[in-house]
Amino acid sequence: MPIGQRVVTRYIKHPPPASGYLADGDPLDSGSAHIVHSNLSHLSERNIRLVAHALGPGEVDWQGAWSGVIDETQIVGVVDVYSLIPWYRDRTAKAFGPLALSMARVQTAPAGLVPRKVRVVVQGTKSTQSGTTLYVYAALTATCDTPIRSLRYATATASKAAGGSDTLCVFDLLLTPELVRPTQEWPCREASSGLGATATITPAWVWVGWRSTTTAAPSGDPDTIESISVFEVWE
Amino acid sequence: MPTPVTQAPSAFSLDAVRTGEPVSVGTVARLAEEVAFLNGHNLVKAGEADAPLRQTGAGRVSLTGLAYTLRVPYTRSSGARVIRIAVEIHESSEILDSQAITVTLPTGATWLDAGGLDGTATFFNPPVGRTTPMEIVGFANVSGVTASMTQEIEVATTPTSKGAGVRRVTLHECPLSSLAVSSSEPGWDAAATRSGRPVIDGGSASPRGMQRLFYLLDQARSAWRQHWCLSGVESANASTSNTQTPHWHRQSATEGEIDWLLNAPVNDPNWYLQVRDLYAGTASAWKLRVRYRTSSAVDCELKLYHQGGSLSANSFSGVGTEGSTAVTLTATSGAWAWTTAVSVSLPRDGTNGLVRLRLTAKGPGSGELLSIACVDLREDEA
Repeated sequence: MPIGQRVVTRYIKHPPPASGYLADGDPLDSGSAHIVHSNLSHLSERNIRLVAHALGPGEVDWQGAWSGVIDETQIVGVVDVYSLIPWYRDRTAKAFGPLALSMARVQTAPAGLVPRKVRVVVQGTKSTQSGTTLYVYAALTATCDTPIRSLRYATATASKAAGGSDTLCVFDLLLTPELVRPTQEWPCREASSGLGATATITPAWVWVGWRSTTTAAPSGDPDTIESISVFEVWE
Repeated sequence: MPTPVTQAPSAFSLDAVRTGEPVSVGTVARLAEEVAFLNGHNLVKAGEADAPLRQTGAGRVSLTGLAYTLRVPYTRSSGARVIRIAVEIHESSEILDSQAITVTLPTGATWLDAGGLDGTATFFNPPVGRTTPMEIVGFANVSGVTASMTQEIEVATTPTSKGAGVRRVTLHECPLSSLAVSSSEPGWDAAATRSGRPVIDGGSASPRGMQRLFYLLDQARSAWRQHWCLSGVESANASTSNTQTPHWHRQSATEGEIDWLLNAPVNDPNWYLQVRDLYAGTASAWKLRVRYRTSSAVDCELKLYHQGGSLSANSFSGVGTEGSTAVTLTATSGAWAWTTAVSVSLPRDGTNGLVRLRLTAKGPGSGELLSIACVDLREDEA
């Protein structure tokens, strides 16, 4: 059970505070208590954050993807698919976040609480150039650095091969992190308050990258990336 | 006694609250823990502003040396006391390429640590070809901000002639470590639900009692908002050429695609989100605002299309009919302005609340230009 039990899968509005609905000395009936517990569980599931919505670059310039990159090296024959692209923005990637992760799922092996899943939806167009493929990658990283150098909490990939005509593709990638540990402290309150002024949290960045085996016009017919949507999901 | 904020909701079983038996203080303590998670930890990540370099081959105005502003619409949720603002700047191969970055905070907010984002620092662009991001981070105290649907974080970049400008702005409310024993923030007194204490009525303005928990529960519903935005460049560049302007734009006076300055796109972009779907059958209430400029005295229009549906096999399948909401962009004759907010009902009939959005616009016509800097869509739960 990732969240608390619900009476019904919806929020049930209750009388506002100070309405005289629950005066001192009145019994707190279990039905009301059930509704309040259910509402809290429902919000814990449904208060999902929208991380980012952005535009893509349009045409994917894959032939020039590694050109001019100074702090990363292309390794031929590499088996880690997330090292196939340099994650050089905005040519082959976009980065979003950080998102302070909220633990909202239960995992059993190993046991513990794990963060909400993050959904990445990428709209692109696969061109007609024969024998080519458009690949899309997503990674949830522990630092703002690229997925090549950063710890990855979760990854996902999708692809589309050339068909008979330009094909609108909506790639749906789900980032499913496993157990994570807090890595940073952020200020959360002015230090003069006399209360805890920092909170220990687990920030994560979302990287979205792409690779295409098409070649440039006019001899080739490049694929395109048109939009990117990133948001948390409820289970 | 301050209440520790948990980083996860509790897997509470309703078996613990039984008909005919008294409600124990232990189950009330669970209510307090859960409101702490909702109001103290699960805070808002606002939308991001993004300003990729322009394709300059066809005479498009470059961002290099251009003073411009990026806006991140933001409504404070009731638990937030501090926000984290991060800015990234573009790479550049020029010598003495720098810019000042000035962040304007909402009324009532003050810097805890500006990190140079208050315009006092000179930031030099990193070299071209560097893949490692360089975040410039500031923290601001927003505990004095009264939540409003018109608030925003405004990031202005003032470059030297070769300064390459800001690439991205991102904003997140900082989770709390504890809830104070206070009625001015979503405070709660953890001692109120210690074993042996009576469960009292309390009130919304007191940090203890059942009514206070009801109030905090309602804050987590109505004062917590999903933020969606598309935010790009706003500058004083007055070009009315659709091949040169650095802004998202539409020229034609008929409704159609907005030019988002992509390099040879094939299809118009759509975006996706999942609404909260709180009431199982009721549309989700949002407000739409647009930051725009018209070059002439002709009114324009922006239309938001929305449809619930699902994604599978690399395609979207809609349910029902696609709805739309139009907002009139009253002529501004060269000045940037926000529209007043219009109500939007997003459908909740998609799978797990999935909604597809797309945008079209009507421009002023030949020789003139509608420019768009930000489309702001914020949840407006009553």
